[in-house]
Amino acid sequence: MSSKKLQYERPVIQKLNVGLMNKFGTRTEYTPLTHIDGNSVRDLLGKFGSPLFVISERTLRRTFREANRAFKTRYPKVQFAWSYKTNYMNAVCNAFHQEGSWAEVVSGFEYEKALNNGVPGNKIIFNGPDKTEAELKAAIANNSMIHIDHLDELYLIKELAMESNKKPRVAIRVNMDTGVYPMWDRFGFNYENGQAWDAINKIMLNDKMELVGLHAHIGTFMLTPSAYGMAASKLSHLALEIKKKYKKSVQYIDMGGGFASKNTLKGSYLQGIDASPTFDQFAESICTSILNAGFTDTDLPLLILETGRALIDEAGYLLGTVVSNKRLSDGRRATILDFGVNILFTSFWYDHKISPAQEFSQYTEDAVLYGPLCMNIDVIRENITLPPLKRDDHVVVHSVGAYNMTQWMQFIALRPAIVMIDKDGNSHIIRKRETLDSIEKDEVLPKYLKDFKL
Amino acid sequence: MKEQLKFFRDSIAGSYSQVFFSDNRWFALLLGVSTFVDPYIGISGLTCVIFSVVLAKLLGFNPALIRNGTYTYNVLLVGLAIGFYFSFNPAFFVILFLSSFLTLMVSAWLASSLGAKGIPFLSLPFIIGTWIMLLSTRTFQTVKLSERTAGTLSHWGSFAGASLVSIYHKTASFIPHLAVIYFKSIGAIFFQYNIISGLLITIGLLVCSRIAFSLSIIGFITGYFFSYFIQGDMSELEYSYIGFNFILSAIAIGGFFFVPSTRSYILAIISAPLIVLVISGLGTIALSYSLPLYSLPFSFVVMLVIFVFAKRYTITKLHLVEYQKYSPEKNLYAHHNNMERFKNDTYVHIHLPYFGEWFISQGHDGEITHKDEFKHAWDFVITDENKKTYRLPGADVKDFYCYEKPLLAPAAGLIVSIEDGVDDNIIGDVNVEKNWGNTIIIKHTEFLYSKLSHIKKDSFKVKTGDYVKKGEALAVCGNSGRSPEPHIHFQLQSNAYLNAGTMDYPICYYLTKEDEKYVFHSFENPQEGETVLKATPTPLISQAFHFIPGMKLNFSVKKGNETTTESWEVFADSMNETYFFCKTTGSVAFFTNNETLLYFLSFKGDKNSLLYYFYLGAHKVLLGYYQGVEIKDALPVSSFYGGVTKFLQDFTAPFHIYLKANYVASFSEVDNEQNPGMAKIISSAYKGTGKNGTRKMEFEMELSNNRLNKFTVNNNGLCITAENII
Repeated sequence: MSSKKLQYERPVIQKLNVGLMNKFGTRTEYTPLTHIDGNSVRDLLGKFGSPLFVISERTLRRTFREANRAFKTRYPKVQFAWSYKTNYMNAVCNAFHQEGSWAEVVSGFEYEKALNNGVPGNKIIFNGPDKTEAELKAAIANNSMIHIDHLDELYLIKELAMESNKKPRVAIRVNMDTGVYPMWDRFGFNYENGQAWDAINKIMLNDKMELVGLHAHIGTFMLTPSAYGMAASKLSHLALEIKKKYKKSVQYIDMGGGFASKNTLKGSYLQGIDASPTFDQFAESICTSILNAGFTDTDLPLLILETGRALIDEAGYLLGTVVSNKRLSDGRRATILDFGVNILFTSFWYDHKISPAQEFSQYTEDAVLYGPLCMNIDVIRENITLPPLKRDDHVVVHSVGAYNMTQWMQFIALRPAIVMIDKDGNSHIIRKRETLDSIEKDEVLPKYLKDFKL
Repeated sequence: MKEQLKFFRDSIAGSYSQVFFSDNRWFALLLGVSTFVDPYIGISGLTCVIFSVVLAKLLGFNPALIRNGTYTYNVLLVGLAIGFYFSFNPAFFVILFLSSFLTLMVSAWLASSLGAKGIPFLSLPFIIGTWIMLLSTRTFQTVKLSERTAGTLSHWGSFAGASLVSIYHKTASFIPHLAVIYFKSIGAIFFQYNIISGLLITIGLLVCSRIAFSLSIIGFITGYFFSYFIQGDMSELEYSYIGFNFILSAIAIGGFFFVPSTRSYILAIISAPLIVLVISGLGTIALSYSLPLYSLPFSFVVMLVIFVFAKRYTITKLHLVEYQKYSPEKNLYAHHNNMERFKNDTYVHIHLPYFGEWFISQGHDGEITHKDEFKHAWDFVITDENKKTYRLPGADVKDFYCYEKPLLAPAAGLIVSIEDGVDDNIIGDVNVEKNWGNTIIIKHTEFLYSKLSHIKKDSFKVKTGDYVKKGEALAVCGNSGRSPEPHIHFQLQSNAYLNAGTMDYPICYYLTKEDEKYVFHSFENPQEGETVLKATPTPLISQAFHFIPGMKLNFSVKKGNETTTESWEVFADSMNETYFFCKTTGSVAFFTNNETLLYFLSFKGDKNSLLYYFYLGAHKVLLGYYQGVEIKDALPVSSFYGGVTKFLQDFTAPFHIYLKANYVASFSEVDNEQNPGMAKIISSAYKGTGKNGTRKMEFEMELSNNRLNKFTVNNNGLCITAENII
């Protein structure tokens, strides 16, 4: 140790704070993360280039099993459906399918993706406000569960059902007041004002469709489990009333997604890890409500969960490299990284936890983290306490598995590669780094714009 | 009209075959023929039967009892007696009709008075009728005794030609003495005290029933040798109408009213000496009035035995036949099949009292508290894949998976007692003062109560005096009483008291889970260490097998190159038993659907019909889908065996049934484990048992659109495909 040359660290100037610290102490993020599932960050970046998304299959499966156990120990019939929009990398989807998840898709594109991943049609839940006629036809032919969002869709399915020899398996999406703000009421039919019953009656009185389930998706990044309990009671009540009125048991209650991950929302006082409920808390609230709603065991519905974010967020890491350091006009330190909001879309919502990937001394400095884009909005963290990073140092962004790999933009720069580390620690590339070709292959240049000399 | 004729044919045939406890028409014909060996007697008997059947029909007696000959077999015997005693003249026929009418009324009276107590009247009406005739006619000058009566007690007087008689006597001399008496005795039942009739009847009896035949011999020999042993009046036995008492009693006790078994055979053997006693005893009294005893000893002893055995307090052996099939063999095989299939079906159906899969942390005869008089109880908890009952840190009741899970009524009943107000213990602590904690006791039937303990305080959704349905939510699991960690204690008991001891009573249907595979159990006690769940129906399967009366099913049946159609309709009879009636072949298959299982009970009709294959292929179907579950069942012996094999088995069947036929069914495919829209069930019926069984028939049922869509049969290479056409 003593023979090793001490690493150079640039000096930092720190304002002397007097008075009390806040109750969490001064939070610093200098505990380095040098390895992910046994793979060194430096090696991964050296092998696959920087920046790089890394998915830990170990974490993915562990999280899924934890969630599954939380529900299965509380409710006899539980089924997860992987929310494609959260992360539809085929490798990720198939890892979840291997764990027993069905697929939940919200567009024709995702529907096709699910079919290509080998999900049987009758295990695909088709959500979303925009389903084309062709997509609906395919969904009907495949016996998929179609979650109706609005009456126009209901009428369209009715028409298609007349032509088809198959009975579409439909569910309605119900929105409701669960005591949280904002109340999501743009999707589906409202519970309190009777729209939901209107839609149910329209389906039940039409023998061309089969009402197989009830669906609610009450919000996103929900921090209150009791809201789910409320939603589950209201859906159970609907199901029991349907049974009473039409002598028909609905096959399932779909509680949608929206469970918060361990990320910290911008403006949140508490850290995500402290603020976010556990799967057990969500499960307790939902399962207790359904079990105590008054179902008999013959019509106890299947409980479907479309949890996305909470299952994949922690399994995803973004690895990047410091481009430069500079000092802003007000004296704050700014660090420019080689990834920005173009590929880390969620930095608009979260104060992502970012760790350095190499050892430092105990000295830290407040800094702003910028991305590489030539855009003013490209800020990864407005304020973070990090050790003094220098050019070519590496950083790791935690919990980026949800939404980044689907909402990222090919803007200014090309999108990076994605690597999955399997349970034995082997890394597999699951999406290649984009090249100029991958962007231009779909471009068509009119002939008259081709051959000229500038 | 055709129906009417059939009715009369059956009624007349029944009158003959009933005497030998059979409903076989061919046997009846043979018996009829045997009565005509002495034609006068035969004519007299047949006249009485026809007269009384018509009369019974006109008077509006129970048509089912007329049809099977219950009212009229005694009339037949009286008719034969009159034909035997008196010579034909106009007065003879007056007496004949009057005595028929009298016997018919006595039969009807006894049928309703004794029948209500479940006791057969056997040939009492015949005794009453005959005695009244014999006593009354002594004073009537117009009625002449026939000459054959003179020889009755010494030897059989001949009315046939001399040459025939000599042939008869020559032949008879070759037959051993005992056999001659046997044949004569059996013939004497129909007042044909000759070897020809006896031989005819014996052959008929053998063809009809091996058990009845063997019993007739055993009974006869026992009676004969017992009389010999006590130095009784052998001449009376040999030359009078007495020997058949042994024969009839042996058949009645050994094989007809009791399910044939070693014990029933022993009982039949024991009854023979009893009859000897009754013969000697009653005989003395009857003789003083010059009355023959006929079948009185048989009737008396058999009625006595049946009455006494039916009133036993515990019946584990020597079962009386409940549904008379008029054949010892049929009774026996049906009984065995039922015992094998539904041995515990008389229990009240007690289900597990919760939703989902729970683990038995303490079962019967548990190490901790399920001891002595409390040994038949279960403790249930919920575990995760590591067999832990809680999530970390596990310091609070809420960390335990089963805490606050709903508890359900195990069966319908009345809430007789609720104990509430005991707080949950902190983890690890126990409350030995209120050791049951919060408890609910439900009365299901007399002497059957269920008790659930360690419930969470204030969680009761029902109150004392409420009636609950099966599966209704009662309360939630807590940690009160002697409960170191949340669990439920479940037991069955015979009274309503909180501290009542437990009762060994099975759970009706449940599944155990091991390595993601399920095993189905019916009427068993779940064991400690098992993960157990209720068998709940899957909508697709329960709807596809939900056959309601009035429902019609039409199948397009493809057998090789030919395509036919077969139509079934579902009916329910007056006993609330549901059955399929195949209009195409006239076959009938009875089935039961109890919401957990669909199973077939019996089949009658064409064994080449699709319905017969369905009866075998869907012999027992679990109405819920569970991965890897196998449903096993026993099939009736007659489904695979016939001819000589079965003929030989019949002889030893009361002691040992070595022919076996079995059934196994499982799910081969589902499109979706959670809510299947399509499922395939494969089943097979095979000879023998277990892995050594030779498979003979394989079936596949395809369910989709909530109905049975396709049914395929592979019967030793013969492929039948039936499609359900709407």
